[in-house]
Amino acid sequence: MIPRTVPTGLAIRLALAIALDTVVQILWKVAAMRLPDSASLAGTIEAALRQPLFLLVAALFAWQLFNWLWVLERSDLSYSQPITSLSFVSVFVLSAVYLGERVDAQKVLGIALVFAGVWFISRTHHDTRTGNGSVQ
Amino acid sequence: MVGVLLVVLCSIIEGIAQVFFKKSALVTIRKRLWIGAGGALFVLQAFIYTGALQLVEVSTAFPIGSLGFALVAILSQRMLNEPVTGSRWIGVGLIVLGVSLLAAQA
Repeated sequence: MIPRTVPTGLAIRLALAIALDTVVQILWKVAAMRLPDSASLAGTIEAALRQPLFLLVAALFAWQLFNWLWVLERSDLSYSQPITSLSFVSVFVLSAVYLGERVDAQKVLGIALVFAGVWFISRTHHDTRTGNGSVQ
Repeated sequence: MVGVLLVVLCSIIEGIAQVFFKKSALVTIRKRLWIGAGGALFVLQAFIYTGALQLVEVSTAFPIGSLGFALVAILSQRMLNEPVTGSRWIGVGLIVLGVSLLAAQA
């Protein structure tokens, strides 16, 4: 395995993808907890639309999509998508720190395995297409 | 059981949506068509997932969802001709295992 260098721009956008994913997941949890129990789907949607947090989540979703499309313009899907699994680690760490989720040996092993997996992926070339986006 | 199958279905739909998003990066024409199709699949997946969570616990759904990483690797290889080599398979395998451990209830 030859060490590969990832372009700084791609690394930043991947980090942004993980950060946005983390924030969206946590905000979604918080927003869903604030919704009143409603029997009907229409009632739930109506309550959600009046909840400003959901509008923020929607805006972040859009940002996430544009950022992700930028990443895919410059890298393999089988390279970038597994790297975003780091958001599972960040969500867990934030849940442990702020929501009091229990940290045990199983979770620590899980985090270590995700990091090891991302390390293996990062050893491969980030964009195996030849040329500059002209391949059909 | 139905809930588990729905979660698996969601992973498959999301994997295909990712392939569509990547397709939009590969083509020079009709980029928006692929993005739109991928987005539509994402929304569909979100609705099915919400329904599935009425039937299964999140602690069950998340580890099953981690199989999505393996699925995306397979789809990238078959549908996008990406070279998913030994290192990528090892990486994906470790990630699936790691995410399952993180998400599963001890």
